[in-house]
Amino acid sequence: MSWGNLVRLLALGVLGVFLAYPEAFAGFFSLFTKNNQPAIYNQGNLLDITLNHLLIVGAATLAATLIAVGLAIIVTRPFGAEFLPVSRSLANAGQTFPPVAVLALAVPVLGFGTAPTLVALFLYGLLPIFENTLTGLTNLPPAVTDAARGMGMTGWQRLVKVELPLALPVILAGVRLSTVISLATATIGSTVAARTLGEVIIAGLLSGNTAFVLQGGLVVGVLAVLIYDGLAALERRLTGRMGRLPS
Amino acid sequence: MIEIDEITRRYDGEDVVDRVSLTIQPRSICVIVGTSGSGKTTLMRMINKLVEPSSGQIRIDGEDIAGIPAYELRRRIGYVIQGHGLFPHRTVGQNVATVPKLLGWEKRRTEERVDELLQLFQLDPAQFRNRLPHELSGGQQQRVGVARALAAKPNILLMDEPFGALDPVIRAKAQEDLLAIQRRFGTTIVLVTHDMEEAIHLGDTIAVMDGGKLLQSAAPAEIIRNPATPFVAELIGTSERPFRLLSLGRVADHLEPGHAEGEAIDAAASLRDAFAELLWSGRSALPVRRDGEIVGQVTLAALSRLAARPQ
Amino acid sequence: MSIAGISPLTARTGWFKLDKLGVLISLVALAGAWLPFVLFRANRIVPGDPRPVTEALPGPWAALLITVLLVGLLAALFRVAPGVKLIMGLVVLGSLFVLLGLSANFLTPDSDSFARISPGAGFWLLLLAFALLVTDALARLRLRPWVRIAILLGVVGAMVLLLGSGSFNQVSTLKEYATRAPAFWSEARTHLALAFGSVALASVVGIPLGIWCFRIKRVRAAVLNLLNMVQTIPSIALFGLLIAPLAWMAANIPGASALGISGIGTAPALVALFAYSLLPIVSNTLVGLLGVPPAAVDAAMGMGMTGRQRLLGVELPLAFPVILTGIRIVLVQNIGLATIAALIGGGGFGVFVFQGIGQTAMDLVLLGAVPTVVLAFAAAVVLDALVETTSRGTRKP
Repeated sequence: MSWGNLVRLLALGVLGVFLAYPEAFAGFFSLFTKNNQPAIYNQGNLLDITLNHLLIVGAATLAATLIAVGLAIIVTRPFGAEFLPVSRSLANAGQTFPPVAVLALAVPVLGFGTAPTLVALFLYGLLPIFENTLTGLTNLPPAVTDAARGMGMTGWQRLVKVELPLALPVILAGVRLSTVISLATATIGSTVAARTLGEVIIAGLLSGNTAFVLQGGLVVGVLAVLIYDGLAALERRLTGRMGRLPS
Repeated sequence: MIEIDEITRRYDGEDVVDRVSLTIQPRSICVIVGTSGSGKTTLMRMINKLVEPSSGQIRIDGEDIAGIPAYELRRRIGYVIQGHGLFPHRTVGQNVATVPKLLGWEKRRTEERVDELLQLFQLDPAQFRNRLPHELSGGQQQRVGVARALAAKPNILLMDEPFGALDPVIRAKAQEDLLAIQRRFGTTIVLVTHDMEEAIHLGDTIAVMDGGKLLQSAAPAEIIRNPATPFVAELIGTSERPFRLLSLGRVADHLEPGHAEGEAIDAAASLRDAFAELLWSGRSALPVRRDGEIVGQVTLAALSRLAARPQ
Repeated sequence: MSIAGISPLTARTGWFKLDKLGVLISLVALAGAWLPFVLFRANRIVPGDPRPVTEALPGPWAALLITVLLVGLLAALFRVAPGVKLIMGLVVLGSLFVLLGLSANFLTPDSDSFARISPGAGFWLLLLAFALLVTDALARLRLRPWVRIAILLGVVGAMVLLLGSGSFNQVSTLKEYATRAPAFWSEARTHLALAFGSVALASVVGIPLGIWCFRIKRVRAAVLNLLNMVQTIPSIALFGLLIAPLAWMAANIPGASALGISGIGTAPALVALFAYSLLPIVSNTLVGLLGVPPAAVDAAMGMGMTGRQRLLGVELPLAFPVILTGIRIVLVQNIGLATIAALIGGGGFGVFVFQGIGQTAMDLVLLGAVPTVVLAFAAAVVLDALVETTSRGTRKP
């Protein structure tokens, strides 16, 4: 086992122990408290909050992946080509909307809680996946797509057997990016009362308790690094089998 | 004069250039030929210190280049590479002015030199000076690349596969231009290529390299007649030898008195062209024309003798 | 020639063929026209009372809006030139805003300072539909960078005129503005200082760091991994975590507090935004430098440029568009992220967003969100144009 994987395994282990027995770390976190503040978040079960955080991110990313890949496929087919320029511009313009604003504006329609967070994460998650899928599907080597057409593959066969497999690494990279962004952005959901790790951080900010801010931030940060690396490893395995575009 | 003396370049324990000695006469063209990985480019890049030798010495006009700062040396030597290496963000004029600017020439003098060179390469300065390289055709880019290398009037010009990216028609034209310029300025040229045809056409001397070693260095005719090793012979191409030999000579040098029938051939044409015309038209002799006048003939029998293996 | 015979025919019939995007735009616009144009509320807190176009505007004006919408829809539906679509789209968008102000004036009872008129779902959908039309037309026209900036300036100018004329003063968000105008401008200054200041700092540090990574391969992975790690920390946590060290600095380093460093407020927000900006700038500098054509570098060396001359004369200019793209990414990102600074007392437009969330006053949220989005959007347009003009020659158009 490489050093990197050993460190990752260790991080995962420490994270698991912390979430199951947070009190065991009270000594460490009490270093960051003053005036006898509680060292460990005491307004909810950290494990539950973490799982809920992951659930929200997972659901939003899954939905975003399905829709974004679908849309990218549509706009790269002949019948959807008319939508290509506008979809590129929209993906570009979408990034100028700050997540807080999206969250806040979703509240009147969806109320407080998880729903606006899910919607905001979904909308935010669309952009990187859509852009990457588009890049993947439009930058295929012309020789390969020509050969596929020349061998008499139908449009559907070309998509499923040639274009998507070749674009897969780029698409997966988009999903990975989207997931990591969502993991961090989900914390902002707690400003509209979603049950995410942001609640721990915000409780810390409001009461001036650095220990809370630190534990909320650390859990999200470690999760993000682990999930990022995990998805990257998955990508390598998948693309190793599918073959890579000559770069 | 460039004197390369027992020069060696080692990478990771492997001799990419292995104890090569070669003297390049002033005002001549020396073509280094070899397959890829033969060490020909490394050898050339040691002349302007883009590669530092592991051992050995290079002298230019008697001066050891080890004692000259690299950037100073390079500003004195023109350098042309395959794919031209023009700066894509600078205009044609700015590209050509690069070395004069580095040398601190006056603005007026630089501008005049740029226009002079563009004209020399048949690029109208008013039209091309302010264009960007990507707005030019491949042949034009290549010409700008050579013009840039000549900007500060270097005595030596190094060229690394300068015509490699050009199509055959443009390449032939570029080769002729290069010969004309070399005759005009008397520049010493070291040119690297993998194309033996090009080497025979351009070189006063051909240096054949393989596996880091210099196999043979001689005039083209000598290389064709007496290849030093089987590898050199193979590089020339066994079945090509007679034609390559003929391509070295000019019709003017092998005139015979007498009159032949039919279409005339120019005295400046190569013997190879004359030979091809003889075979194609089924004649045994061609009339030779110089400045519009018939001055003699060239015969199939004479050419056959010239093309035969030396006894 | 059969081909020559067919082509003018298709050109003639092409005009009647429907534009697929136009169909989508029409569906959105029809839904928008059907849904309430504005919401009327007797005061700031009570739920809204929806008013459709016909009730929201005096008769002639409602008729005008409907006419303009219909003409706009025709332009969207049929394959007319993108230029025509662009102008029609802008006309409809302009009309929507003017008439929103008019509607607010019309519906607000005289001398009633409590009533609130805010844009309804219908207004937003119409806005979306015709913004789509404009976006599509702009994308198809592929205008030159300076034309795009000119259009942006025109739109901003029109907005300033509209807001300055006072015709908008009865719209709910502007009523929120009216009660806190000084605070708005001071938060605007803070927001700009946070977003632009952090990017400027990150450029000053990040570009040399990128050059360093380019020159020395061994430090590359270490620097990039560290900066990557910073990116995974959620923004609100990073803001919070910087409070403690900065408070310590303010208390223990002489002169630090005089420089404005303190535990809460702008300093930790600036540092956090700076930290987030480093990775894109460093990695884009590195990628830009790595992408310089090797032939150009070889030629530069072969012509006797020194390392410095090569860097300043060849490598950096050729990498500049990529570096600028990195700056564009972080500037747009930081304009949005700066809203979070309000959570730790750092100020900025986020103040209004979070106050608005706290009071469930969406008008107040909009007062913070709209300027942020407009700012981010304008920054994106301007920097995209700059990237395009600076990449002359380095990429084929």
